[in-house]
Amino acid sequence: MVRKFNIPYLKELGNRYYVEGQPEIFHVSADMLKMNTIDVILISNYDSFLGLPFYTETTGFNGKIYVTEIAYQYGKLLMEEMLEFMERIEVRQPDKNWKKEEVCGKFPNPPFQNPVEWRPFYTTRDMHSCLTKVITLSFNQTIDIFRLKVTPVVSGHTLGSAYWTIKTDNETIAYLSASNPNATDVKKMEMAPLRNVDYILATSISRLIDTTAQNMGINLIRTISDVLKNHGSVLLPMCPIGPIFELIEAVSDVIQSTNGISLDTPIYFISPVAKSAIAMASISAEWMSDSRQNAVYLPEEPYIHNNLIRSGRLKIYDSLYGKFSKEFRTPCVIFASHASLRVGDAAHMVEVLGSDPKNAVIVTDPDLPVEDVREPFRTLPIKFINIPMDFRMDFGTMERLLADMKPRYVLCSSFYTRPLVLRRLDLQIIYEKLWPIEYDETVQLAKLTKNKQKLVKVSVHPDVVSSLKFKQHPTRKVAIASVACYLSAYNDDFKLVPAKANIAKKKYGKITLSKVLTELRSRHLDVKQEENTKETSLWIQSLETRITFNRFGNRTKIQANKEENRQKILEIFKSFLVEDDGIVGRVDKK
Amino acid sequence: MSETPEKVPDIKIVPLGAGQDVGRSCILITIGGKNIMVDCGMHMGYQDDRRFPDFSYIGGGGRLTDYLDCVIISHFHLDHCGSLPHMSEIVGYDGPIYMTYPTKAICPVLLEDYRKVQVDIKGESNFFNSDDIKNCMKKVVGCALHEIIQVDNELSIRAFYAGHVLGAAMFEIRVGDHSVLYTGDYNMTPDRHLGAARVLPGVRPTLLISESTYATTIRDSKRARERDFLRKVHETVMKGGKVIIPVFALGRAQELCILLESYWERMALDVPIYFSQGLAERANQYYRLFISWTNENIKKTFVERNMFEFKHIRPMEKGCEDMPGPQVLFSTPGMLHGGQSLKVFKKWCHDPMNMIIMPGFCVAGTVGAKVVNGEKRIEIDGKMHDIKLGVEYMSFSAHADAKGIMQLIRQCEPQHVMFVHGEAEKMEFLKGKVEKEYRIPVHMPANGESVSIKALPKLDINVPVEKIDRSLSLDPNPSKSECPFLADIVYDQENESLRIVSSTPEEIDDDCQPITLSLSKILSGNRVNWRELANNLLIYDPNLQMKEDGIEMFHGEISILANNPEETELELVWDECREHWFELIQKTIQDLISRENSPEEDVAIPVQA
Repeated sequence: MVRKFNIPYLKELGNRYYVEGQPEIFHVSADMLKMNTIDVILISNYDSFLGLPFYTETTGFNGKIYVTEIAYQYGKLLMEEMLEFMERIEVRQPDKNWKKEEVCGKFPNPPFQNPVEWRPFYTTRDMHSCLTKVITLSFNQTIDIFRLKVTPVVSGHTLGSAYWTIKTDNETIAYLSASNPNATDVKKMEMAPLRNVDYILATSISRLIDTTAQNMGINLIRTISDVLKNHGSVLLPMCPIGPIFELIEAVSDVIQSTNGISLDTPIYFISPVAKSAIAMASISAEWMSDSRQNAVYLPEEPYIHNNLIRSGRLKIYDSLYGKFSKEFRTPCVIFASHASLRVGDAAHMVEVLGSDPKNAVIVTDPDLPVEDVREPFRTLPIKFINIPMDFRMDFGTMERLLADMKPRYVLCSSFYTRPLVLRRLDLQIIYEKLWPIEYDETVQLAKLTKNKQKLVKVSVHPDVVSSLKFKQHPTRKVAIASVACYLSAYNDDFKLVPAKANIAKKKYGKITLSKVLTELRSRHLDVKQEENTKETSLWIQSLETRITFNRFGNRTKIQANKEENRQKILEIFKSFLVEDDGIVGRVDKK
Repeated sequence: MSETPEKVPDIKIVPLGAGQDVGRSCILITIGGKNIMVDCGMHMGYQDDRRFPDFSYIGGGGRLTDYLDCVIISHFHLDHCGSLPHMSEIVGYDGPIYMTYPTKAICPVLLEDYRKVQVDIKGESNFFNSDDIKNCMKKVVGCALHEIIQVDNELSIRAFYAGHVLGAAMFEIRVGDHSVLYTGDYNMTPDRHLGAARVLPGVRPTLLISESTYATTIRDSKRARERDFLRKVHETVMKGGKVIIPVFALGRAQELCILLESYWERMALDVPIYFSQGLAERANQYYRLFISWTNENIKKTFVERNMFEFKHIRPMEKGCEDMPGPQVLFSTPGMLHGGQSLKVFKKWCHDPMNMIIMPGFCVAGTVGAKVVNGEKRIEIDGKMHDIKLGVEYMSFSAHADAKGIMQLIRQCEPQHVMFVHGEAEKMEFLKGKVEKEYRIPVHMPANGESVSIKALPKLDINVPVEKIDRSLSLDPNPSKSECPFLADIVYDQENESLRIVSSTPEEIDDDCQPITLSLSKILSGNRVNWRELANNLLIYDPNLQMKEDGIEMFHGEISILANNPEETELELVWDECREHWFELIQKTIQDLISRENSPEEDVAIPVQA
């Protein structure tokens, strides 16, 4: 059927059409985000790091990227892995004809988005260029960005994952990205910074319904155990970083302690970055839970991976070609990426294990529907089992957290303010003051809270402080000091510093013709008076200067082309006017 | 006590150790009513109670836990942490103790090692035991670099990389606007396994407390020192001699091992190199686990090749020091104050073929110090020994030298500097230099002497954003560093608050009203093109207005008007407060109207409604 399009790279598989070629990516258009207006990107975890070059390279982005040190290290590994997978794919489609509506629109499985907007993956060069813009942080390391105080706080989701607090002089905003108050392997989520903030921007809620990640973990281990006992092999297509570390240990325990599973069942970990991932895990104890961390004080590694490698029970390969193909034996447990089964070694391993129904692929990624993952392999006898492992907090936990932290407002995507499942009113974000944000909507936070006066915190230089002379107000119980100094806003660091030159203070008094004439004549200046109804005008020939002032005596103009003459007359005016001291000229109504 | 309560100084410092002295670092800091102890070291030169700081001084002899808000340990060397179990378990302290993760890991190992030397070899009783070390370590909280740790609501601490040994850190201790930066031991130049000390930009301590071990030294280049070291080791082993290098198990030892390992490889040498058993392997394991605290190079390559796995350097075998022929031995401890290094030294010191290389500082009174001083007869454990072997002292010890200390002071611009952990004369020299070059007061208290520092008054005030914008608009300079700022600071005596108000009077006295003083100048040239002029001025005031008779900027504080019907003369009028803008605006106008062959377009003046 696919032949009707007469496009050679279109393939048909089980009444589904596929394009053979380089995978393409659909991401939010960088143009829409106006990247050249963005100063800072905050990255909350290594999962959210992978797409970065799409937004930072050749988009006009000229700012800085902040991320915790370990999320950076792992995020970089994920980029390298994906680039390696892309590089391995040699086929290229010669044209983009398939993207035409009249072609792809007629597929039995038409794409969800317009494929014209799909983009090829970024290059290694893009990655390196992007990485140069990254600044790494520790948890609780507050940085000052244009007078905003920005802090990454332990979110408990993955190694190095953070939520962010952003403090202005007047308000505090928390961006609550993927978080988990029930973490076991990584540092425990810190709650205190969320208490009584003005706004929480909530996102990344678990997709698990009526169960927990813990239950899923137990389920997963039991399933692996069952498949192995039945002499089948298990393929776990998953991310080479994070939960996999704990899972390798758990699988090794299962093999060691379950009757009916051969003790020498091998565990394979195949990824171009497997070696680096394991090595990184062994040196990042300070980012882990206390129990993991305590190992280094012995000194031992936080995970037993290297012991498993030394004893030959865990074997690591950078791809399934070469050494692995010779050493590979079943039954076994294989960890390999990519979780989508569209690129990477895992996809090939499905083919290798596919013919035996005793074998199983276990899909654990909560964001990937198992039917989609399985789709190209539907005809193979291998079992596909879905055990989503979602470590993000669920709606119930979110509701309790918000009730406890009492932010003034909660903002979230309108997606989260509608029940996830029909008639399950509990499966949404619930809070008294909830503000749903629609797609492409801009919300001005200040308008939300109707914050009246904006104040800016300015530090006052000690010399300015000591020069302040407070005068008691004649009627009210206040003292007033008039300050005339420089404001330095250099580098957005606002400071009041002593002035280097005289600063023109506001003058008070009343200008009358007789006063002006007296002053001028006492200085032997010859004055010619030119009067009209609106204003008084005086011409001083010797200084080529004209003075005009209005009939209220509160506005005057000194016109002269020579600077020194202007100054001379200005000085005369100053001599009979009073400089502002904060009290002069004020009259109380009382 | 004659001190009056209202005159409590902002920051008070008392060194209990390391005051004009190297060894037994222990400093009490009082800042904003909080009491902090930084370091809790042991003096290697004493064998009696003088090796511990005098804890009875603290808080007038009351319970330490009641007096101290926290204890901070800068790094794992015993002269900085050696008395910790004594303080926490024997004197008694149950509050938090902060140190970096690597220090937390390594510190108990060194304490245990030291305890063994004292108790098992020297037969001392009355010393802290293994359980004391364990219980003490339970009170320790690990810190990451740059993490702001809130000890309580007011007191926060933050660690910076110090480079001296694995996990060494400087600590910023902050209460409100005032802070103390305590350097511990630090090194401003990177070495083979560690990076250079690094304080984040913007760290501006009220007081900087710096070590000053090498206050008078400017060390020759690192490479020259390394070449020298390698040449001397090579010459001695070629002649068949033995080389002993007393080191501490962790720190310098790893750097020298990397150095010798690569030299042996390059020169294809097969003379054995030994490293004290036991600790060596564990030490390297610590380095493997804390790779992220080493330097960039090691971090980059560690997946492929771990720098701390050696080919040529072997663990010491039993009796190897008695074997004939050349060998190199790294042996602990570093100051020859006991243990294996002293034992081997006693055996080798009589042979002129042999050599000892002292790569680090030795505390006065130790055998190491005597050797470095060139003493030819030294009494060890009651027996005189003739010292005939070659002695080389090489400062590989990773301390900042005079240049490094000056560099740190320049970087963080403290209001006061204090020197500790150094010898008085050397401090005196550097004190003079700092006071002369940077005009910063320098303190160098002796042990037990207290120094009070009056910090400059600091005030933060909340200013309405309109006021800020107004001030910014008065400065034509794009750097906006000298914006004239006029305001009334009002102190409300009823609720004791300070605020800034805009100085607009509510009601005006007719004889004392605010006066607008403006100045004016006539500029002439070609006929003006108003639209072009407005365009050229738009960058200075995006809100400028075109009026029927000219242009108005900054809400009328500057205006440009035609002075004759031909519009070849313009009047520029500006309020006194806009004096700074005058030159710039005048130039913009002049450039336009005096331009030759200016196109004679007939442009109607656009009218702003």
